[in-house]
Amino acid sequence: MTLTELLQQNFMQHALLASLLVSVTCGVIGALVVVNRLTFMAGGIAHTAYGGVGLAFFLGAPVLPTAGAFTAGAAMLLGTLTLKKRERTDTLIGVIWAAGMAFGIIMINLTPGYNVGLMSYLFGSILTVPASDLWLMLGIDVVIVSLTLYFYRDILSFSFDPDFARSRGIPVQWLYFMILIMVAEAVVMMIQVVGLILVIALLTLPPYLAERHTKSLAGLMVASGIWSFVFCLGGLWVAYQFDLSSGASIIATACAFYLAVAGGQKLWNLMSRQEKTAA
Amino acid sequence: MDSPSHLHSQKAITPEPIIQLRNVAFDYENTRALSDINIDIARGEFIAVIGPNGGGKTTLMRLILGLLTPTEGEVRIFGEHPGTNPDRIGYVPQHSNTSPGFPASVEQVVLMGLAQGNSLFGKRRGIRYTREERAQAEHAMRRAGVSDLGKRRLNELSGGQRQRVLIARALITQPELLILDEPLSNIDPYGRQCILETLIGLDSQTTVVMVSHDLGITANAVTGIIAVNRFALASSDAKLTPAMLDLMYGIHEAGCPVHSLLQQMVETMPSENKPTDGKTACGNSHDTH
Repeated sequence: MTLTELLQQNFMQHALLASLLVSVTCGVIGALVVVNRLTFMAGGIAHTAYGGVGLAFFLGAPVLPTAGAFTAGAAMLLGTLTLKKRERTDTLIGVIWAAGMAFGIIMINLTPGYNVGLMSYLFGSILTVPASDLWLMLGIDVVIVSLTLYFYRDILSFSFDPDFARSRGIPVQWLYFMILIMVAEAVVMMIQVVGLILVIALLTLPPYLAERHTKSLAGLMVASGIWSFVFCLGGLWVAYQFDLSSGASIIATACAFYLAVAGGQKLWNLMSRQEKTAA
Repeated sequence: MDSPSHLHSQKAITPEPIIQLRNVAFDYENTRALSDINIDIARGEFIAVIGPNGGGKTTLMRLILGLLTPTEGEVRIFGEHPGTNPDRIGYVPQHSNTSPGFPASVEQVVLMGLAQGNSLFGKRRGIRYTREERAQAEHAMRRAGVSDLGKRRLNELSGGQRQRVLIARALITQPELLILDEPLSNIDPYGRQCILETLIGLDSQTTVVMVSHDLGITANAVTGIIAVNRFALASSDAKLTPAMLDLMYGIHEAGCPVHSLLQQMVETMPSENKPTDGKTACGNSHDTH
């Protein structure tokens, strides 16, 4: 099948659209996760989403909306617990992380029949995204981008220095919960693309690559979104060429880019230092 | 030793102090961090809050800022509850509390001082800043001596420069009260001098309250000292009293090495960090608004 023919296929058009929609959220939320040092928290939320997936299977309800509501609740619970016991944040995240997954597994066990589609939620299946999920993704994109634009100054001030933000009267706890819920919705949206196990890599690798060359949080969000889209397209190509899992291919592409850029940077620094020494 | 509660600042007789703490106590869970605090600070003063690490200095500042609520007693700032007038108070945390790798230029960090949260639906919104807001930032950067660093990122600056950027962020709303939490920590001597010059160069109507665990900061500009170690003792001049030393470091008999060290501190303390006139070595002109 030629590339033109491939692009005319419905599943591929959906996959490209899903990549674009996910990249928008990925850029915004990934940047917030990285600058607020919420990577472990986001990992916890992502794995807790499995509980929502299990619940949806058990109830026979649509997966993404059910998982979205369940994960938002889990994010609120995590936020409340970590605010009360800041010194035990890592332990509490670990507990909720495992509890969410265990709940999901038990729900699946209690669901009659063999749930063949379950693996796609663990490892992603961008090539099977239905049109209804694309609309849901678009909705999540619109909400996340609108909230971020409207509260940009508060989010910026909170992310840089929460104490100062509080001294300015900014409701930092409210913002914290808002960010966690946005992370929860972003995770649920990305489950379709890379699966909940690999979500965290697609959230964090693009900002890692972009942060050295950006001078603003908004710039970091845009650059991370672009990197994310590049990884999704690259991963799709790799998956198609070598008949591999699309989610894993996207993350493998991101990791390869990261290693190439980080390695190239190191090499460049080393060469510059040697040139200076020689001079 | 006299009861600390009866030795509060002589500024109590000054009309309308802008900071008032009455019988304030604060507990962290079941541990009492501050007890029986009575402090009055008048407009235009430059107060150094000193004391050992863990003595409650930062807790005291957080009570004044409204970041903590007292377990007992009452705190009034400008006659109102703390946090009522964020534009009138500038807060400067330690630069080490912020991430130097954060994706923001110096100008953007200073503009963060305009963030305003009394209402989530306030007026100052959007990613882009207006010309007027940028002019405010430029003015604040000039006052803090960092106007030539506007486009740089924080990780390209020294610790002293970063601290002055945070001072500029606090100055952007032209506050009447500036509260600084250990601004001289982890700063080299040159940077410390620059920060002190910046603070000394502020408008005489700006009240400065600066926390430090370093007794050497009591510069000529300091008009009063508050010693904090669970209790607080205030003096109306920039001199430490034996009662303050006892409160902070305990009573040591003559001949004890700590006693000699404390005596040495008292004798050598004033006269450091003299203010300079006009253009300074740090590049910031003393600027009043």
